[in-house]
Amino acid sequence: MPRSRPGLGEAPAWRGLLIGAALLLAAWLLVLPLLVLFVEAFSGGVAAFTAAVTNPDAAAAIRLTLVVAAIVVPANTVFGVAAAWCITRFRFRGRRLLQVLVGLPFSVSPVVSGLVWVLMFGAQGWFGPLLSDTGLRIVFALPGIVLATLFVTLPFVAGQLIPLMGAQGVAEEEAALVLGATGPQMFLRVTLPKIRWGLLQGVLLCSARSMGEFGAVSVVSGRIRGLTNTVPLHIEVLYQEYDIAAAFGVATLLAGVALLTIVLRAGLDLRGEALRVRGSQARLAVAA
Amino acid sequence: MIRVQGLSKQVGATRILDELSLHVAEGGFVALLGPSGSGKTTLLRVIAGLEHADAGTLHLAGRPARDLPPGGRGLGFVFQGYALFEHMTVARNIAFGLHVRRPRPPRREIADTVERMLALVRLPGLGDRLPSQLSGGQRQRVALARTLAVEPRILLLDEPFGALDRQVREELRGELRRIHDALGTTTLFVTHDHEEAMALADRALMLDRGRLVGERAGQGRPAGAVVAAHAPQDRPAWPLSPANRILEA
Ligand SMILES: Nc1ncnc2c1ncn2[C@@H]1O[C@H](COP(=O)(O)OP(=O)(O)O)[C@@H](O)[C@H]1O
Ligand SMILES: [Mg+2]
Repeated sequence: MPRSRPGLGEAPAWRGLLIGAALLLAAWLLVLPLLVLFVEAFSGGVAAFTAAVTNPDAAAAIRLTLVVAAIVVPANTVFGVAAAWCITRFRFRGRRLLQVLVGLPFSVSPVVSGLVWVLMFGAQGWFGPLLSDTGLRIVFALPGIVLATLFVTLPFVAGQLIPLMGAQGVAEEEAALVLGATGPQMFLRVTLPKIRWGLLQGVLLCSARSMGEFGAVSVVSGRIRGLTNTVPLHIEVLYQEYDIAAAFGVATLLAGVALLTIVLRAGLDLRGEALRVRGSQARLAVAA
Repeated sequence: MIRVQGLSKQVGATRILDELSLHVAEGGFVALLGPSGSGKTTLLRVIAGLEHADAGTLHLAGRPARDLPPGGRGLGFVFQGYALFEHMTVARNIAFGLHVRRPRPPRREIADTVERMLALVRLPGLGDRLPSQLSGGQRQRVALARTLAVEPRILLLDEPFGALDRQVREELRGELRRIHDALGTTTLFVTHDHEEAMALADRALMLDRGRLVGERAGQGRPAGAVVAAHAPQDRPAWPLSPANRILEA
């Protein structure tokens, strides 16, 4: 057999060294911190851990984080699907611009993502006077936290769907239309089943980030204990107060979310892989 | 049945369709020939309502069709790449047009139709397969069955046999003609194969740069009254344009 790339796949010593180094780095950067986290969290015993997690301020922070995620994730899912639909299905002026804008939050520092809301809706902000008249609070309250989180997590769903829907094309959707499907029928029966795994990946990433976002939220939250502290902010407060065990205890919750996300995503990947393998095996069987 | 008059479409500086007029009589079987990029696919897509023309009129079964949605035109479209629903079984593919119909036909009726269609395209027993488990020829048959299940009066096919090897192709050709004759549909099909067009169709039209440049009777049916009655008198019997050479080649 001709060797197309001499050098690659040879020199077992080099290969072993590289693989070893990669594994070691991954263990040191990823697994070790996680291990430290769990060890520290339970260093004071299970009772101390339970106390840290059920403390009223912690409970309020958990509740707030869940509320924010419950608003942000559905909103960005709908937005992501709609944006991906427009970008991949229509040719219009400003299409490229929309595509760039959707990815913008990734390249903006989280602090800036929070600050813009303060500049707009804070007491000294553009719309500040208007808001103080109506009595509606945005900054240092739930709406501000939701806005900042919406902004930061905007690219996740759209980012998963745009390349996917672009590659899949419109042929099946057009076939559905000619066969008499209405727009909603086409979307539910053809588009959605075709994008569901990518969509789920995007939703998972969006959820994890919306619960874990620190920078943007810390700017708009005002950090009122028991009121506007989300879980990440509450952890920071505990840490600043040298309540290390409690900080680590609450942090295990976020680590748990991250681990769950990883497991679910791996499951999705395996599933996608299995479907591909099944398809190609079937093709082979037909060809044979 | 299909009457197109003065159809024009321009994208940017290119004229894709250039004041194109044609007529396919009820029950007719017409082939559309022409070099790549001559506007064949675009013409079919405009007839199906998947694209709009800038000017011209389109009548289907005597009614103006311009403002009808693709699903409301009583026609079936077999796409060049088949466009099967890859996540559905063959049976669900074939049943799709009935499943989305409101009111939805009874379950039994749908199942019966699926069986009938599978028999019609000679794929009995393959209803539970996924499209990815089929050969090219089988996929083509499923695409045809899915289209025919909604009983379209008009059948549009875009290079239906283009990707198939010679043997499968010849087999399917015969079946397309057989099905057309059995169901009495009006068929307009695109092919780049001159021989195929002449063997199958009553009439073959030649397209070049968005214009009709000629037509000729085919052997699909003995040149009968239907064909003669609709052959416009003011066109050359067969292209006098450069496209001629492509056909003779
Ligand atoms: N949406 C479009 N935008 C720009 N050009 C197009 C579009 N659709 C088709 N064309 C052009 O129109 C011409 C005719 O295309 P098509 O109808 O696909 O031809 P055929 O099917 O005969 O090969 C080609 O030159 C093609 O590049
Ligand atoms: Mg074409």
